[in-house]
Amino acid sequence: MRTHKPISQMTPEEKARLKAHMLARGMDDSDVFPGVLGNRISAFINKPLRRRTPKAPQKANT
Amino acid sequence: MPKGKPVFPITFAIFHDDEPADAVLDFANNADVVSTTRWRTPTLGNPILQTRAADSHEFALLAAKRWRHYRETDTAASSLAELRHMIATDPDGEFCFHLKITSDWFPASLGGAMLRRTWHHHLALDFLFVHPRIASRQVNVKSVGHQLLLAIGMIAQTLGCQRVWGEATQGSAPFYRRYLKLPVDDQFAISPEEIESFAAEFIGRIRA
Repeated sequence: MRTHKPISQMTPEEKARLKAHMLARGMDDSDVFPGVLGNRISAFINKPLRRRTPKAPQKANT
Repeated sequence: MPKGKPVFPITFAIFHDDEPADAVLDFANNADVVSTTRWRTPTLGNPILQTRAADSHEFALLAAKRWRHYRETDTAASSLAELRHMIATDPDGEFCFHLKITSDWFPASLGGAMLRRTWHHHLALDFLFVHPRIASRQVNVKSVGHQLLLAIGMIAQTLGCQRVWGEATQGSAPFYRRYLKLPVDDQFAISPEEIESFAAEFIGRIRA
């Protein structure tokens, strides 16, 4: 499924139209997109701590 | 749905060297997620670009870590059909999925996103990132972030989710303010109307 004709098959005019359309829709996000979205230290995303199974007291071999 | 259901993968346009270029959106599988953990951070002279590259690498690693957690609990979906099946089987369950963007002109994935479908049937965007070479502008690629946001809206609409939400940082708030046209502070929520609008913008032009 695709949103447009394959760019390799576009005429220069079709490609220019697509570029103008993309620019008009604000597709150039380079001045506001920092490369990542999200928060590395969010409390939501920390994996739960691994629970340690309590060790049974060791018994001396008899 | 504006025009039929989305069928993944979906080819759409982004900017490469300031010209339109084909890119492909799809659900990521385990191999896709693991492959992002092998990305390398380039060494650069510019400290700002170096930080951007390191951030994108770190976010990919954090997203993969979360993926492992959901995989271990059998709540990670690697296709829309699988996600739908999980929701149908356990309507109150929380499920994770990753999106990836690839192209035939870049050797790795261009970027990706990690999302959760919450128990309340909303989508939570935890991480979205581009490849470190793109984040650091060694490769001139634009609009991956915006297109991923539209695609997330399309998936929310497809699933019938009434909200997409997440945390906005000081660095990402301007991005959300522009594309949501709202005064975003440290969190954002995409309304049902905006979800419809995003879906129409992304999928409305789809050709079979």
